[in-house]
Amino acid sequence: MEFVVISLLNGISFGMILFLLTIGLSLTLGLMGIVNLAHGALFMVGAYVGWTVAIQLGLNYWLALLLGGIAAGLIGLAVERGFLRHLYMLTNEQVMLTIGFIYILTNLSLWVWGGLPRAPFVASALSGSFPILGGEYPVHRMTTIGIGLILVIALWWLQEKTRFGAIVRAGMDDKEMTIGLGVNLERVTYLVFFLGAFMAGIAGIIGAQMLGVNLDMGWDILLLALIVLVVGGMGSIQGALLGAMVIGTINAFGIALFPEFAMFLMYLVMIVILLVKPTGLMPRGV
Amino acid sequence: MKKVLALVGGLCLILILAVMPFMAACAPTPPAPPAPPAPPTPPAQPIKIGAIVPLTGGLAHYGPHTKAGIEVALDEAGWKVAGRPIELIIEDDASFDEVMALQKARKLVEVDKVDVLMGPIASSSFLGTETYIDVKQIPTLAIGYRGELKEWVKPSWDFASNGGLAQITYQAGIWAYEQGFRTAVTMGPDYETGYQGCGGFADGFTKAGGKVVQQLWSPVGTTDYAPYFATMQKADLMAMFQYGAGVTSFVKQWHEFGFWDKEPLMLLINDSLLGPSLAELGDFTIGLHAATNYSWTIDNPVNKKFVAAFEAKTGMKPEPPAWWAYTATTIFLAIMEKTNGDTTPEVMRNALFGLTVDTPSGPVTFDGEKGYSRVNAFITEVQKVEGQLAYKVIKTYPATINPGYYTKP
Repeated sequence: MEFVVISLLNGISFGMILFLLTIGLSLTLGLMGIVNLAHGALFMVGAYVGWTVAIQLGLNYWLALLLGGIAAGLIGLAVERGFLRHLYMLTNEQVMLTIGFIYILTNLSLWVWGGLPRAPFVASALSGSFPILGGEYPVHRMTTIGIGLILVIALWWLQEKTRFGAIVRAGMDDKEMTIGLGVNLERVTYLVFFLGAFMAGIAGIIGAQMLGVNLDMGWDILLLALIVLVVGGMGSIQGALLGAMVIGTINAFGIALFPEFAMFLMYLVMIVILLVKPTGLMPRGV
Repeated sequence: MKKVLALVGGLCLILILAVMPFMAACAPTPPAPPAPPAPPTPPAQPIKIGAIVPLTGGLAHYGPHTKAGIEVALDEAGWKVAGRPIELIIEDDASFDEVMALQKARKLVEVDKVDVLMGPIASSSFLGTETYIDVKQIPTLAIGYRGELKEWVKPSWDFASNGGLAQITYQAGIWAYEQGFRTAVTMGPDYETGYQGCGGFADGFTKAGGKVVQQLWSPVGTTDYAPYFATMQKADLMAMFQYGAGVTSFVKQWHEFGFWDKEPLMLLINDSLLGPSLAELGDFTIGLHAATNYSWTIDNPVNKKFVAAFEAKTGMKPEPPAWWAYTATTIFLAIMEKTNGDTTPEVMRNALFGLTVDTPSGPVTFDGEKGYSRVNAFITEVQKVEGQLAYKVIKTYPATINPGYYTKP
C-alpha cells in the first residue's frame, strides 16, 4: 500500500513537470507547425537563471521562478523571431536549427555557470518533509502537484474562456480562415511561443527541486517531452496533461517494479500508442 | 552500334591493363642519393604530450582540475625532462562522446605528432580510442581508473596510472563490515563502470562476512531516485556508486525522504560529489562516509606541496581528477628520467613496470605482470576542514592489486 501511494505521488509530481514542459511544445507545434527542439534547452536555461537568482543572489524563490520563466521566454522568442520565422513549413530545417540551438545554449550555459552540476534547490518554505505511511515525503513534491494543478486550471481557462484562447484554437483548426477573418494571427503566435517558452523555464526551476541543475538536463527531458507529446496528443492542454500523467506514473511504477526495463519502458509505451492510436490519446480536434 | 562500342571499349581496357606493367618497368630509376654529410648535433627535440580532457559535457567540472593537474606537474619539472623541453596540447572530448575522443586522438597523433597521449577519462571514450592506440602503438597514460579494463580489454599501450576502481570499492566493503554493518544494498549506474564499482564493494563486503541483499541499477544519467526508494529493501547500509549529476540529487533526496537518520549512506566513490557540491548541499552532509583515492586533506609533504601549488594556480582545492592528472604526468616524467628522454613505445613500457612514484596519495607502484598501478585507498568522512566541507581521511588501506573484473550479477 505504501509502495503504491508513494509511487503514485512520485509519478504525478514528475508528470506535472513533464506537463509544464510539454504544453509549450504542444502549442507551438499545434498552432504554428513549428518543431522547436530547443525547448529542452530552455528548460535548462530557466533552471540555471532560477538557480542564480535564488541561490547565488539569495533572493526570493518565487522571484527566481518568475525571472527564470521570463528569461526562457525571451530566449525562446528571440529564436522564433530571429530564426524560426524564416523557416515556415521547412520541418527539416527547423529541426536542425533548433538542435543547433541546444548546443549553443548548452555551451553558453557552460561559459556562464561552469560545468559543476548544481544541487537541487527548494524554496525555504517548502524544504521540509512530512511523515506518510511510516516514511517521509518531501513537501516540495506535493506542492509541485499543487502548482501544476493551478497552472493547468489557469491554462485551461485561457484556452477555453478567453478570446485569446479562441483565436489560438481557431488558428490551429484553420489558419487561413482565421487570418481571413482579420485576426492578427502572427502576434498571437509569437505570444503563444513566449508563453510556451516561459512554461519551459518554469518547469526547469520546479524540476530543479528534484533533479538539480546540470548541462545535460535539456536533452534528457526533451526526449521525455516528445514521448508525452506522442502519447497525449498534440495541441491541447488535456492531451498534454494526460500524456504527462501516463508517462510520469508509468515511469515511477515501472522503475520500481521492473528496473531492468527502466531505460526503455517509456519508449515501449510510445510504440504501443503509435501502433494503436497514432494521433495520441487526446489530440486537438478529436 | 552499341555492341561495337562495347567491343572497342573492352579491347582498350585489355590493352591498357596489358601495357601497365611494362610502363612501370620503364619508369626511370631515381639516381642513388649522395651520402649525407654528418649532421650537426640537433637542438633537443621537444616531447609532445597530447591530453584529451573533458572541458564540456557531463564531466565538464573535471576539466579545469585535470588541465591544472597536468600543468602543476609540468611546472614543477620546469616543463622539461631529460634535457628535452615538453609541449602540451589539450583537446576536449565532450566527456562521453567516443567518436569525438577518437577524432581528437587521431588529430593529436597524426597532425600534432604527439609522442604520448593522456586520457580520455570516461571508460566509454577510452574504449573508443583503445584499438587506435594499440594499432598506432602510442603510449597512453590513463587519467582515471583503468585497472579492470586491462583485465578485460588488455590494451598494451595504455598505462593505467591511477589503478582500478574496484581496488577502492573492495576496501570500502571490508571497511563497512569492520564498522559493524552486516547487510547492504548497492545502488549503481547500469553500465561497465557501475558493475566494477558495486562489484568490488559486494566482493569485499561478502568476503568479510556481510551480505548484499539487493543491487539496484539505474540508467546512466538518472537524477530522480524517488522510484528506486520505493523498491529499496531494508539494510544496514546503502552503498552508493554514481558519477555525474546524479550523486548530488541522490544525497539530497536520501535526506529529503528521511533515510539520512535511519540508514547510513556510504559513497563508494566521491569523485562526483566535489567540495563545492558538498557546500551547496549544506552542513547536513557532515558525517557522510566516502571511499576515494585522493582527498586534499591527506597529510603528507607531497600532498601539501601539491595542494599549495594547485591552489595558487587555480584558486581551488584539488579534487580527485586533479590528482589523477597530476599523478599520470608525474609517472610520465619518471619514465622519461628512466629512459633518458627516449619516447620509443617499447622502451617506455619496459621502464614502467616495477616503477614506484611518490604521489600526493602516497606511493604508486606499477605492477609488472598486470600492467597497471596499485594505489592507496582511503575511507573519508565529510567534516569541516579549514572552514569548508571536505573529505577528511579516517582510514588508509595500503595499495593492493585490483581484486578482479566484475560483471552484472
